[in-house]
Amino acid sequence: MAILTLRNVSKVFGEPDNGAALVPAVDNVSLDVEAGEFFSIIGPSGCGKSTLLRVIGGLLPATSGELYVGAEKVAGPHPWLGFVFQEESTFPWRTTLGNVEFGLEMRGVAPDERRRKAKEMIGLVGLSGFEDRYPSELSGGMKQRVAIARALVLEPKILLMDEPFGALDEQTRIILGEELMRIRDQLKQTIILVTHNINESVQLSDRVMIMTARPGRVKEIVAIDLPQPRDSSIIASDRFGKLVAQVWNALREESIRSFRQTEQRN
Amino acid sequence: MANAKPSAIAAAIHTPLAVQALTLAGVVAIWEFIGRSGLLFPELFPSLSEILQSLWVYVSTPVMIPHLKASLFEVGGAILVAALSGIPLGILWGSKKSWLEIVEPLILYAAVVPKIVIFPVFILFLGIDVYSKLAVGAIAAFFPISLLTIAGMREVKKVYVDVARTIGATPLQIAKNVYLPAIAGQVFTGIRIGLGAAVTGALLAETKIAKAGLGFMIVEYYGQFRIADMYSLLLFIFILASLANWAMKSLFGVLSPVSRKGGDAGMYF
Repeated sequence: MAILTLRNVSKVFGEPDNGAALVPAVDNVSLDVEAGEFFSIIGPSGCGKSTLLRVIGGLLPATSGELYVGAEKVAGPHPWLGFVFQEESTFPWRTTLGNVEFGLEMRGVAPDERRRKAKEMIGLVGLSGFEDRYPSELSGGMKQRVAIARALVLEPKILLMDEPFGALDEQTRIILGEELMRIRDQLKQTIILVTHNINESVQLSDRVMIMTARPGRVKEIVAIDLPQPRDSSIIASDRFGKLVAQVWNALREESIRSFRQTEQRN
Repeated sequence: MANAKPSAIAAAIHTPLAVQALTLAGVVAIWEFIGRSGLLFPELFPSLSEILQSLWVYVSTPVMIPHLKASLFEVGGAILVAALSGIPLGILWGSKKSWLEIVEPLILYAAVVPKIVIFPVFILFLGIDVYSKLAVGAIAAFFPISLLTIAGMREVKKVYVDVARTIGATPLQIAKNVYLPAIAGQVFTGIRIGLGAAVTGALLAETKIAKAGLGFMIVEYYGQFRIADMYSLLLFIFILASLANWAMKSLFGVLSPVSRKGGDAGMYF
């Protein structure tokens, strides 16, 4: 049974009452994500993929459709879901340890217990020794690891990631992707990743869902049959190149359409 | 080896603290030279020993206590009133962009008006006792406190609130654990700048019309041409203000231990 199910989920921005133009962002998306799966959502910029993830994470209400976590129908934040944001989201007034402990603190976990769990998770993301540093003393990649640890320490069944490496340079992105694979294997973590980077989606995923230009619909889902576990050396293989081409073929038309939409708006 | 020693001394002199100490020593030396040589208006440059003697009188006898009490009451009350009004209003104004667009230009324009010009109004309503000075200090401190609280509200990024929401934090938890710490640093800075503004406002007002207070006594000594007493009182006020500033900085450092780069910039208006 799927751990996350979407049935005909749509999201329209703007309120019909006050006469503002309605902007459909996500249109009629249905999908199933299996437990332990690494599922990527890719689409042209502005296609509504981040909106879709925010709907799944309970930060935005769906306009219509249903969302199930396990067998439970949800509308709003759910304890099974963890969220990692694209922008810098670490709290600058808390140390690495304080940041990672944040969620446990909010949930009323005892100090000893939360310290132990947080330290363990900081070790897992490779930040041991940086527990007492403030975010201003960390690099962009390290801050994003803190954000990942902060979400994972709550043991979410599904980790939602909204372009988590989007602000990082290519090399850091590849290395962090590889570490994410390691963490995922270790925790058997289900991950849903939103990205606009084709290589990243193929490098990391079991399946890649391609969305259409706005309003975002499901265009195609590509199964990534690369061997598991993998590391970043996979990007040199022929099969990797073929899959990237396959994703790009599905995406190309939509990207061009999205590009035209943007031009018209300007 | 021969070079090691001078360069070590040079390195020691090049620390900010050494430069500060040397500058101070230099000023004292020049002062003392002018005072003792009688080259330049001996009445206006009393020797350091005279000034320190007079300062000792303030510290060791109760002569300054009523004035100290009056000034402390004014400045303390001013900070309290300014914080209790400026912080909530700053939070309110900073919480909505549309409110900020209305209020911020008004505050920025009002902030540059010297508060002492309103003093006559306060005398009319509050009399020549301590309360009119408290009011001048309060209104002077209100602006930095409210403006920096607004600046603090700007630092609360939407994503911080989103993080807390996805974790399942309640609105109360978000207020306490996201908004409060996010604005704390700026609010503390606002209070420290506000302290300087309150001291300036209250003591300046004391020099105009008053019955007691440190500012009042400075003008009294000046009027009686007790120049050494006047200088020692200035020194006394300087030491008090520095102590208060240092105490606040230490207190806030304990309350909000985030390393803040950029230090005390903005402390000087």
